[in-house]
Amino acid sequence: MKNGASRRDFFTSKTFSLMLIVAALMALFTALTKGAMVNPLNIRNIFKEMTIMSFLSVGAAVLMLSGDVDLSAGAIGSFAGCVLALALMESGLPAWICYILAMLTGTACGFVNAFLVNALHFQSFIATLCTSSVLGGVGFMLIGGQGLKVKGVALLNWLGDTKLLDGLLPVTIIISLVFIIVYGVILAKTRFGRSVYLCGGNRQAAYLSGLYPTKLSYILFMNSGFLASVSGCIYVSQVKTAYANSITSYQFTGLTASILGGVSFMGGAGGMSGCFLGMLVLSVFYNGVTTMGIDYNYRTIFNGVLLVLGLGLDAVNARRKTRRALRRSLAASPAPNGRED
Amino acid sequence: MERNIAARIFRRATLSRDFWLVIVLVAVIAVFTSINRLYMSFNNIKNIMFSVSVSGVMMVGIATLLISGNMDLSAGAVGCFATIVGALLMNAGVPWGLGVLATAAVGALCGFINVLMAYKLGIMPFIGTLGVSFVWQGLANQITHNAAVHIENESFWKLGAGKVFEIPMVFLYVVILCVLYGLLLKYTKLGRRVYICGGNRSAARLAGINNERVGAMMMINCSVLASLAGIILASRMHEITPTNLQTTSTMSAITAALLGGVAFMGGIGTMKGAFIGLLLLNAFKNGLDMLGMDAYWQIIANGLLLITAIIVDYVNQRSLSNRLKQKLND
Repeated sequence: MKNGASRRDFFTSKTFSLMLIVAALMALFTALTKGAMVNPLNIRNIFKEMTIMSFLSVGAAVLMLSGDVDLSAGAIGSFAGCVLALALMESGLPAWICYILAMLTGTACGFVNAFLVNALHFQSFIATLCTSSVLGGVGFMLIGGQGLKVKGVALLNWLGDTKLLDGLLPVTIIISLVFIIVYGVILAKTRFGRSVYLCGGNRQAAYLSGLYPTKLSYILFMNSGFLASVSGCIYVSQVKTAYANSITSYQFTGLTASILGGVSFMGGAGGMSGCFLGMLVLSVFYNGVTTMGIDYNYRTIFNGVLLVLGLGLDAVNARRKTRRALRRSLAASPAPNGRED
Repeated sequence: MERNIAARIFRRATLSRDFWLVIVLVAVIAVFTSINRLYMSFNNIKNIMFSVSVSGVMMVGIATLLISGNMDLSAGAVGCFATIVGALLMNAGVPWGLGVLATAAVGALCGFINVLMAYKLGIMPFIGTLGVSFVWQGLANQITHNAAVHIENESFWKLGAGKVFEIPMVFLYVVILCVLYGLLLKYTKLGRRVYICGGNRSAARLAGINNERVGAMMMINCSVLASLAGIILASRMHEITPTNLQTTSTMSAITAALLGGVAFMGGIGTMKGAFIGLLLLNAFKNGLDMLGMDAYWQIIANGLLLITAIIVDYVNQRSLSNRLKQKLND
């Protein structure tokens, strides 16, 4: 009985419909490109498309679960990339220290966001918009509009170019998958993960049951900054150049992916598996469009449309759920003057 | 007795936010003038007036929208897209009046889409409008093939080039708009409703006000004004580029309104204050330009000013609520 119910749940779940969408997109593009889409190298490219977006998407998802949003992730990542490139080229420190420096920078930026939101009571989206404009400007000042090339750093080249299994499995893909799995386990299996959901679902209730929503919010904003800086460092490792706006556009694909994957914008719902499938939908689509040689502008348009669609589904779902809960509680409660024995 | 009245007037003036804003504005002007005499030259004042014009028209829409308790991050993208459509129509031989009307109509349509998202689907305005702004931006890039659209229409150029007593017409447009919307907010039924909806949505509903209708009107109004801002820009530059306006100008319009005392959460703010905020922002940016600072500094300054404005707003709100609590206790 229980088995049947869970099977039915699976077939009506968002995970299943996302899988269907991925399969349908794959089939469509395979037909349109006469098979070029399912070539192993291209499948690697699909995953490669995902790497930079994935860190941003994971950070955005965890933060959104707790009911906030970080619109500065792209700017933080780009800025951290600039710091990395500058440190590598100018400071003469060992490469791994430069990487740690860049990630610390990102985490510090996340702390500033958390401070604005928690101590000064900014709304998270406007606070992060402010910091993103400041960081973007500072990044431009640091390295100018041309970008800064990074040459001859062994660690950077290893990270960006090493491919295992006959060139089919770049290290960056492994790193991104590891991050997704680790965050998925933390969210689903640990006490900390559950407290994130609780704070997103009902902040007051979380506080009353002994959690510290403010502390959690600091941790999550700093985590978002950290993941953004990882993403920026990987971009610099792959492209070997840092720009002041290198991963700004990825931020919105990341956000779109997690919203598509069912992470609720109102907080408190969604998980890493949906988030991963959301990323897969986007990168399959982008890859297909690129393989077919369609103009880049359509990507931007498609991204916007998908973001709005995901948000719309999320809002409609949330409304349906509250209505159902209301109906159930009305049915469960006894008649106004009846007595329960 | 007379001294008493003077003292009272002085005290009331120092309590008002606009008074302090004017003081800050004068201070900013004084500082930049002392650094460079040319700051107060007539040519530079005209420069400031021009820079006020485009962001000003957008600011009027954003400020009324913020007061009604809503948000629109797509204003810049909408303005750019609508103006590009108008420009292409004018280049195809449509008279300029009709072109401007078409631009406003496209703006209204975009605003209507925002309304549908916010009230029919229930998407939070800030993220929904952010989403559609990508759509407009992508479409603008696509229909222009990423290049500027040059507008060949001399009577359209005159729209932005006129002068009255050496004051640019475009600046007067902004002043007229501010006065009109100020009167609308202060003296009409709709204006009162905008404040009530922004201040307390459920109270407004209980008082029999149709929240959604007020919000929808303000959203569409904001998009139309944004597209008119695009028109003013295009008529001054004789062309429109897909990178014009967009997020930066939305941000600076929001900054100007918040600097001028419009509350971010709605319900508080005046057009007078917003106009002074607009002057302050542009005087500051122009000063930075004059000192030979990079354009990046302007972006940074904008962000920092926005943060400052929100902090001031928050402190004000808190002292207000403290005062109210004290009054209740007495």
